[in-house]
Amino acid sequence: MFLKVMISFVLCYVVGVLPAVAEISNHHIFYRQDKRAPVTNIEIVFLGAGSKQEQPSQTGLAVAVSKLIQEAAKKQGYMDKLEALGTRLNTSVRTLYHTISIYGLSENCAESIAIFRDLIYDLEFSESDLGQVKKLMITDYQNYLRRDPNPLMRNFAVAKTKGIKKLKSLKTLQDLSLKDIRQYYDQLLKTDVVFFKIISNRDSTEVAKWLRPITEEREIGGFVHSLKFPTTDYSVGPSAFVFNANIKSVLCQWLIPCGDISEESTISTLISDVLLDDARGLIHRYFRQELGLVYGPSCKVRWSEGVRYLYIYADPKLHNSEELIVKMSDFIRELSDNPRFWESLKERRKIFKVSYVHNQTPRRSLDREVSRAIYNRPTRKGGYDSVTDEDVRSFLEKFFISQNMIMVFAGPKDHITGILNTHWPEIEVHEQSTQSLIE
Amino acid sequence: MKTYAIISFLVCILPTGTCTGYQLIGTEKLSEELVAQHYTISSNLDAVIVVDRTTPTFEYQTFYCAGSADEVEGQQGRLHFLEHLMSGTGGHDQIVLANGGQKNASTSDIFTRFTLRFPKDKFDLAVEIDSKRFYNTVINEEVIKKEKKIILTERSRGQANLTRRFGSFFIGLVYKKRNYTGIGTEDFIQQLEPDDLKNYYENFLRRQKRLIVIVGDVDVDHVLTKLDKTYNEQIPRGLSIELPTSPFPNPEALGKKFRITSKSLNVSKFRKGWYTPNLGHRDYAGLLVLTTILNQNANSLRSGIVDSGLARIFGVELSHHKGFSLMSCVADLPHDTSFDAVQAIIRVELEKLRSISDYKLNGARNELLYDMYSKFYDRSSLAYSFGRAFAHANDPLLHPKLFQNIKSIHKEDISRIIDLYLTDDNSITVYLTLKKTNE
Repeated sequence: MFLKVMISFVLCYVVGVLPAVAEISNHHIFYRQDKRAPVTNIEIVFLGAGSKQEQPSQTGLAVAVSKLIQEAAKKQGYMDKLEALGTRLNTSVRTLYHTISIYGLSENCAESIAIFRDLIYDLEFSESDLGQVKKLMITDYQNYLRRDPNPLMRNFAVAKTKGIKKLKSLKTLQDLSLKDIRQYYDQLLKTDVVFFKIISNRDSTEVAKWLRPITEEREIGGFVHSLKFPTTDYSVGPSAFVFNANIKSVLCQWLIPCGDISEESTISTLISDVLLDDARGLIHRYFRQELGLVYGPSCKVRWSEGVRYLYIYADPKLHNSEELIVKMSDFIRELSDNPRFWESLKERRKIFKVSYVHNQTPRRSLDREVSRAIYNRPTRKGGYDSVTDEDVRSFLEKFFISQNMIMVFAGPKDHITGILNTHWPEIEVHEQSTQSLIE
Repeated sequence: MKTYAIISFLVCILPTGTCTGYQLIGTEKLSEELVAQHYTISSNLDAVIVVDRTTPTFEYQTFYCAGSADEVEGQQGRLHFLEHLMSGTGGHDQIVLANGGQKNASTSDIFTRFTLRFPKDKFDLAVEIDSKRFYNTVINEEVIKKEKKIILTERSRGQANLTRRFGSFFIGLVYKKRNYTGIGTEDFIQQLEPDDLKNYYENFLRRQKRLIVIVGDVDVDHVLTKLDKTYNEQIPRGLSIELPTSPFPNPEALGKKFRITSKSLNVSKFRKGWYTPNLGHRDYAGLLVLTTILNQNANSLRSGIVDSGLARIFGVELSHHKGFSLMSCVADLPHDTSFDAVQAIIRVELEKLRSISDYKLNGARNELLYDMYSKFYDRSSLAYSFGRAFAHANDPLLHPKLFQNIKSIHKEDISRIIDLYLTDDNSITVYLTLKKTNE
């Protein structure tokens, strides 16, 4: 026991991680102490809950529960009690997990957690709350369409080509019942494994004491975490999705599916970094600085359900759009033969060696640690250094090809289809209304 | 002759190392670990330094106290153009990247800002880049031609954004400038020439007051010595921009309502802004607390309006301008919501707050303090707070001083502030609505 306590003390002191003795079965505590501000952020991650648990006929269920927690907390006075302490309650949903978080001044944390405990275990949902949440979600869906439909367009295109489910559906939302909600919430509270992700100026002993009221009464037998998704071995391309919009530019996205969520992602991340990790990526330099065709391009690795894809975004003006679309498509297809790509890769490898320090903040290192624990992907020994040019070339030759390219455009429909018909008469074009993204 | 001999003797015996130009003019403790120090470096340059050794990097932000609101009506856009030229001058992109750095730049209504982020051993390089921008920005036909293309693409993206256009219209009313646009009109951008931009750079932008904010793992003595050596040249002050008690630029607009129409709109837009004092005024902390109360998740103006479906989006904000601030209600409304109904609810909610409970006031105060303390985790946000306070009210340390003021707000202050500032005749109201067929 003495040895255990000593090891715990050393762990706690040296790396700021809560010691093993502070862990409770099925709860894992990820903690960083940061004395720069007298605040505490506690995020509870219910591993295995999330949108993955929804049947296609229940799309929107996890988000509805998330919103209902807030709505019911307002109606039943919990939100008022938390707000009186200046503490905020947040809820969010990802594919593989559901989070409930509280943020506030550390001096009020113990009291906030006591209220929070009552909230999550005693919350009641009513038909009127569900009706209100459905109304709010319909407004949210419409706001997404107006303000930033790009993620919905990407999800729609991947859903159509890889057979995954859509993120938003007004129909399934309307059909959700209180029974669905209660079942999900019950499973959520009993989730097999729960992570606590904490940043606080207070020490680990105090933080562990705060958490006991939540962990002591928790039962298990609910959602179980799994990285397995149904196989999505569909043929994807080349295909194009065109959303009509009366604007003077064309919003362009290229999606390149490249594996699934459980696979090691070092090579895809390395390629996206070379293309556009920051304003000095190859796409920025070539398409913005040299050709002046775009203002704010971006490139990232994303997931939709289990499908991993690399996406490239560009925003040319209408009169530049044909040149941009043709050049970008060629650029993607010919990447493995592009000498500038290989020069940029070499340059990027050098940059990693000096720029990694920016990611050493307590928050980012905590995020990485929790992310590693959630996705549990195989890690590549040696990281980026172990990726050879040949590995990268094989990856590009496998995925950066016409048959694996999904294009998504928003802008004047006739203008875009004209470009596609001129340059790729063989491509499969899906003309869609933006409303179809949420129908 | 005798006098000259004495002076020569004194000059020879004085230790040259002590002849520094910088001077400490203020210190504020931010938290247990962070302290902000404010120095003057030269007549036109101040610096704020916050040592934070959490990660071995530093943030370096330079604020020029001139923004698009300082540009002449019909000739706006030069500052934004210069921001692009200065940010990329002398191949900085590659130098920053190769040294593990990151950079950014932006132009607001009241300042032009350049951001650098580097590993800790690159401080001299950051100063070198910053000083090249200040002394030797390259302005010629070639760079202007290239940048025009990029800026016009940026402009077209902004033009497509209705919220941004509506915001510009409102700011145009505040500053009494027609067709207000920070980026410039297309015609104005097209006709910009090197001589004109050089003249603006030399005789306007470089002559404004500047603030350099450094947050991170730095040695204060080295920072001061380096800044002193680099910026000891005295630049004559240019056109002075009134601070900090400049009156409202367009008093004739106060108390008025403006209705603008558009043929195609998904939502109607509403903005009501009250003329309020700047960060240095004793009522500013009360205005911040009031903004927080009105925005809370439960039982607030925002939650009431959104939950009732009257608005799709509603928020209250306190924005910073040259010597004054504006407290504004901003909303996206379904076409069938009456603007009068929204105004009536605002009045009712403000009336209710005259008898606010200590419980609610205390909660809002804590919530606000949490938000402000959280910025200490993010060096970029912290640096921005100092720069904004400097451009807005001429004193960067007004921001940390707010913490004490917020703690001393009483409920009587809230009632007094509502009476004093939040009246119809002290506000500008703008509606954007669908054009009726008979209009």
